[in-house]
Amino acid sequence: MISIRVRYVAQLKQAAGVAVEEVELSSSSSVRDLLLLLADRHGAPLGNLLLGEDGSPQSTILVFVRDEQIVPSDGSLLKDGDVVTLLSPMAGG
Amino acid sequence: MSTPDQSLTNDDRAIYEWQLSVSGFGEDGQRRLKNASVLVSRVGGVGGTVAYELAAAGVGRLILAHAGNVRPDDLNRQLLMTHDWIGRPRMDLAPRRLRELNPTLEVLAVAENVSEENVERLVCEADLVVSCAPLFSERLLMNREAVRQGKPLVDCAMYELEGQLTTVIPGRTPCLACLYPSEPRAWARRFPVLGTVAGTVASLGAMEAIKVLAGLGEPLLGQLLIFDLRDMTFRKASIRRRPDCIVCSRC
Ligand SMILES: [Zn+2]
Repeated sequence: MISIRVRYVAQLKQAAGVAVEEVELSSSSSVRDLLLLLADRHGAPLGNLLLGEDGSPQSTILVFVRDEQIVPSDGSLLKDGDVVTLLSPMAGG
Repeated sequence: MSTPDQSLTNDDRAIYEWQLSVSGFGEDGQRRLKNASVLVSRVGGVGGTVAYELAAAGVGRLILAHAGNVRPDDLNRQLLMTHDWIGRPRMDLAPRRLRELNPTLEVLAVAENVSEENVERLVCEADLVVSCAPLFSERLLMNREAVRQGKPLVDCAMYELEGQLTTVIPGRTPCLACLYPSEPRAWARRFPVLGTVAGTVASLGAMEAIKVLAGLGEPLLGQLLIFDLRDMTFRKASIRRRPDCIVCSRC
């Protein structure tokens, strides 16, 4: 198992109800696996912000692993101790 | 931009004395600001303070775009607006408020929001764009046009007690469409926010604009600054260009 710290930004934080949470995942899990687990665990409204109607990650959510942007469809794997930041776009002006 | 290069006067030196001694800025930086035109859209909570900061810093010319009248619920964050102007056009007040601070400032005030019809003309007037609109459609339009015209764009946005900003240099950095290839649907026009958050993200955005114009420091190139004033966390994350970006992939 690996343990991941998830940080939520903006609307995602409000939907999750927490700013940070710790998640345990099986080894060789991808960011996509993480998003599926979070959507399943929290349900709506967080799930709808993370995943599209077809169950794939929303393309407008920004994902950072250790402050480097990654694209969930790349399939890159998470490592134990990674900090994943999930940001829902803001346009407040 | 098309005006001949103006040098500093003794009046300029008297007003900007405190910033002329900033390392890496100096008379050359001040002269660059004086000869610069900046488009700010809109002039609400973020854009109004961006405009005020740029006017104070000595930017020579501002192009402001914002439709509509001042509303009571603007006043917690739109510091260019005043209570006595409720119900009257924002664009009649903004230039006057800015010139009270800086009488030499040139202002082109356009009482329209950025749209398909005016975006080319508005961006054409400017050397740099500061994007402060409350809708992604307007932000993505300004981004597309700034990239097309090869002009830098500072995108600054807020939500509740959080903010984010990045600086786009077409051809060098990711653009807004690299971040959001399609318009984010979950964003709602009305969002929770305190005015201090608007002021913070505005000052940071104006700082980025000044840095790019004056060649000062290190702007947020390929980086997204994300902050949360609830616990005063500021982080920089690196962002990526999309090889298939519909806006900037051919730059
Ligand atoms: Zn792009």
